Amino acid sequence: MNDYDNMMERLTPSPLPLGPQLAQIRRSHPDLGPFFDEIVIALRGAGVGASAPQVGEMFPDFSLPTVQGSYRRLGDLLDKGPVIVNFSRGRWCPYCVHEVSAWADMLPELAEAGVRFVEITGETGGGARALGDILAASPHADVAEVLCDVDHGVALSLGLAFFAGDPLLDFYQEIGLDMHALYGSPSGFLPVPATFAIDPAGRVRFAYADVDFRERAEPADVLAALREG
Amino acid sequence: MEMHQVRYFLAAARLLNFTRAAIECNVSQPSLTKAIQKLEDEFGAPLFRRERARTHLTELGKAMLPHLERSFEAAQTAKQMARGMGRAEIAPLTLGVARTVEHAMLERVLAELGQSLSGLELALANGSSRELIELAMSGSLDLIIVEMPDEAPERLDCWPLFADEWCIVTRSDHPFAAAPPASPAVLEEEAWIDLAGDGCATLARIATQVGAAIEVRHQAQGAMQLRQMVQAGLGCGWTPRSLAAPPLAATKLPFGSVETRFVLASVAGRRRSVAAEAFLRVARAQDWALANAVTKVAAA
Repeated sequence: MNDYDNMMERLTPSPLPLGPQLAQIRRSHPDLGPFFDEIVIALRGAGVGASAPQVGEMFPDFSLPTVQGSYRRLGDLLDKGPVIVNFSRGRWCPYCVHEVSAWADMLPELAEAGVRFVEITGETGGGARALGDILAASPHADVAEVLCDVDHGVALSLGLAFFAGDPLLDFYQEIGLDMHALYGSPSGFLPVPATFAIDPAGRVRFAYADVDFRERAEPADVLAALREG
Repeated sequence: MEMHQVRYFLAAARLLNFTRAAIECNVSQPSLTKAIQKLEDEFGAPLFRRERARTHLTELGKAMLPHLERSFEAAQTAKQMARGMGRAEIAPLTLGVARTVEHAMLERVLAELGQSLSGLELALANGSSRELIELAMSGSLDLIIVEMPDEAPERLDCWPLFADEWCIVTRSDHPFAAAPPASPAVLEEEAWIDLAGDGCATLARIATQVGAAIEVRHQAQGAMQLRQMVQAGLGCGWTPRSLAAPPLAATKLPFGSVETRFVLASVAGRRRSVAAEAFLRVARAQDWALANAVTKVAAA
């Protein structure tokens, strides 16, 4: 690399932090705050997401389909290096879209660190392609992949699947979101948004799972945890 | 919800007896009861109604049973596919594909499945949608890709894949290829080729409605035969557009359109093989409508 290239490298702006972006979405719908708060408190009370993998634990292997029609195994990806696994609700959720965009911005740093990014969504019928397109816009899209957790099976095995409940499902229906069409099932199940950084040995180095879908792990923190490990 | 809670729930729902469910799951009954109560906390209402002598599912329990079953199976499949990849475990799949279905995605999904499951043993069956639904109901087929029936059996789970429009299939030098039939009477002048016993049914019905009667003269057992017969100049076919591959021409009927929704279907509550579960999930993850459109552009 010549000096000019080095200079350009250093001038690459670091990605915007995700937290303030999420706070902004929240502020743009102040009327919904108390409604969502109540739902989140009830889900926390029921222990939803509490049994998700913790730092230091082994992350269970799984294999899920891609939107290109093939199966991808986590273990095969770990053979190439550390993997960040991110569970999102889907393209219909503004928090998820911002989160995945923030990860797309982080892909150059991930590529440099030899880390791969796996985005997981339960959307069916090719719906997962939308989040994939956000990642594909990055020049380092080759380190990212979207997998389809049809029927939220992997989410369930990690304690991340939950029944959304009538108040939330009714609300989504009122604003025109067809959960049945999005997930190919009328179950009303959703995944808890969660982020895990897994080292090549399969051990969890960073773990985040919160039923409050308005909050997400900060991508820079996740990568930092892998670097420290 | 957690795997063990769902596992206990499924055992209790099947046996309708907490004591026997606990024995089957190899846990103490208080543990099983506690786990199911936690699940009920999450659902916000009881899933079981326990009376002195009997245990029943509540309405909520009945409604949630198929969904919990399906997510549990999805979790098992994701684990088995990770473990089984590259291993020579036998993975049988009996798949019925209606004669009216030709789809690039089907090939792609089967190809990938063959790579992921080295022990895949695929048995493909062909037939009319009605025949395949009967075979699925009787347990001979794990999964079927068929035309969505007007009245599907209650126990048949159906997932929409794509829609296709029925067209008149002709040779490219046929007048219909240049201009669609101007009036129903024109249809009477053609010899029609029946595809696998459908008797050009919907076309005949539309023709009757507008005062014409079509003559079904020839019989084809499959799409390939039908195309050969059309190309040989024996008559016109009536099929979904995706079956009318070039050099044949597909012409939309100007008076009355027919669209068929194709679905992936399986009998609810029946145990399926790993390969069937894996096919079901990878197929549902895809956009079949898009795949068909892409293929057409490529062909054109």
